[in-house]
Amino acid sequence: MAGTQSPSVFVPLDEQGDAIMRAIPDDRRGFALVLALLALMVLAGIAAAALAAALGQLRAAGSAGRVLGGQTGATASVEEAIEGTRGQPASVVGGPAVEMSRDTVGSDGMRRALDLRIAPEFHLLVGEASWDGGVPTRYARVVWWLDPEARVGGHRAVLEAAAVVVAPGSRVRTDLILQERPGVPGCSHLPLLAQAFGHPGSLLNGALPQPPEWGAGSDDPDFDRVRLGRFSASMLDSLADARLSGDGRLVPACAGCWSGLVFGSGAAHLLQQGAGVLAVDGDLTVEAGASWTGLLLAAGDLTMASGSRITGLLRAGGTLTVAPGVEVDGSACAAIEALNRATSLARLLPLPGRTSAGPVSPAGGSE
Amino acid sequence: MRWSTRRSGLRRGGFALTEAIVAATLLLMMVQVSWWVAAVQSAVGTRVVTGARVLDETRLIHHVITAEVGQGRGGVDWVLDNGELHLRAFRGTAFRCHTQPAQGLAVAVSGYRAPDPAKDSVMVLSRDGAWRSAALVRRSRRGSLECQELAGFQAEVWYLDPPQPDLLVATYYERGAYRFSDGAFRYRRGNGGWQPLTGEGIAADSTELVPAGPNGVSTVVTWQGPSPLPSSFRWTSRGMR
Repeated sequence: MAGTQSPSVFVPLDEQGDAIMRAIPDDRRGFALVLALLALMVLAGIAAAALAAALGQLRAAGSAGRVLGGQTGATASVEEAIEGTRGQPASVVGGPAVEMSRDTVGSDGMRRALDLRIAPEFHLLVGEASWDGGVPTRYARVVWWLDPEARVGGHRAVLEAAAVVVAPGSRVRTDLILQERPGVPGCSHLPLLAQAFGHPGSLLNGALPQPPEWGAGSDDPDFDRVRLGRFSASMLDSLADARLSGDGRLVPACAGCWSGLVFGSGAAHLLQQGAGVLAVDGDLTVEAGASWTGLLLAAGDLTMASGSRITGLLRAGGTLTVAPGVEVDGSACAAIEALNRATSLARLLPLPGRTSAGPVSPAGGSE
Repeated sequence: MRWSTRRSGLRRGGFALTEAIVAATLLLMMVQVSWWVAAVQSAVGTRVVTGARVLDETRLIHHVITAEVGQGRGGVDWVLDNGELHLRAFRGTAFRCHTQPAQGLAVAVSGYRAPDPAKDSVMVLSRDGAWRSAALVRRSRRGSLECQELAGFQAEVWYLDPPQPDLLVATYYERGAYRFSDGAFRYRRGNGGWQPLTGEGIAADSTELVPAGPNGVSTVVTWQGPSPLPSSFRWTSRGMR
């Protein structure tokens, strides 16, 4: 090797003629390159591991985010249905679930609320949501939804009270209880009413039913006064379409029409004609010349003065007194019509205690 | 472009002792540097993997506690006792079928798993709006059951004690408890043993499950060992409203 010379190497110079450029011996040219490649491999290995871990975390976090989005969407579908739905349900007992709402979420997601009617007034709402291709998530909740037929079907007589006093000289009819009247369609075709009023006993008067039909059970102490299904006195007060004023008038006035839900409190008096659902958190006196068509509910005593007239059904937590000269035309159909016209009551009420019916499998999401 | 031509110097013949020492020293340094780089790479890789595992398991703990606490009400369905979360672990839902058999109660069931009479009880919602507890004595499946169709629900017959003929909706559950012990997040079904749900590495002395108001659980999870991430995580889970 001694005395040999390395061959010349031509090194290109840039236009400025970098004077540092020099010849590099052949047998040493690859060493720095090997070191550089080694370092690059090490750095690339670290970067690849970090990238793989980061991508894994990103996928896991994205998946968890989609599940969370789905859960939120499913819950929101049910909550929105409860808050926003008004009117009578389209679902029937024993029938398939009815879609109440459907929305798209994100770029490829959906959410919807389904209504499954388990009993006449109990519904299982199921919210379904999937978020951008994630697993469909579901949320279930039970709600109560007033059904006029079931409400009236909870009555067993025209006059229901803790004590009923019917004076001689008054007239209480029960023979046309399921028949039509002017402005009130017939209701004999409704099975729950046929069951309620088709019994062989007297339809004139009856005892108060037990909770949850009337009175406070284990569900809510607020039901110890007047109640209509799961509407307590305070709820009836807040939802009232009209009020019974201190001078016995309806406010707002509604001559010859259905007033919807009318609420009164204290020692209330009715001095005019009206129609609808009249609920009084106290005692009610229907004065002479006054009349009512529909449903009357009073937490305390209900007194009908001579010359008053009722078409419908009555229920009082105290004593129900029918004075001489009173005419009561027992009509379940008028009570149903009054409930149908009380649109403020056609809403979903979540049951207290548990806001979820329990976990539901995510399988079977959207169709 | 111009070219410059230079000649390298003449190489001296043979190896001097000094050259050998320098070469050996350089080789040794290169080996040391390579060893150090490999060790650093291994350490960095381990920390990255450890960080990923910490995140995965923290996410699992968060999901489990949030889901379990959110299915119940504080003081009713779950309670914290000495750092342990004792609860009704709800596993599924059932609703009443429209047509009923002569015996038992036909329901449609859906949940995380099928109900098991050996370990499950049932909370039943009746028409009066109240939830009551009952034991699931037996269940059976019959092909002839007619039930409202809802995707994911399957019809079967339940036998409850006491009988709940007025059942509208039910949710079944098992008794269980969660806690942090022996470096892991653990679950115990009934009075069974504590089974780990995560790997070990949780610092028990700085990890806790404590009440956050009457209907909340505050969780602090602290991991042992070096991690490129914060080693402690804290969140609050809320019970059913």
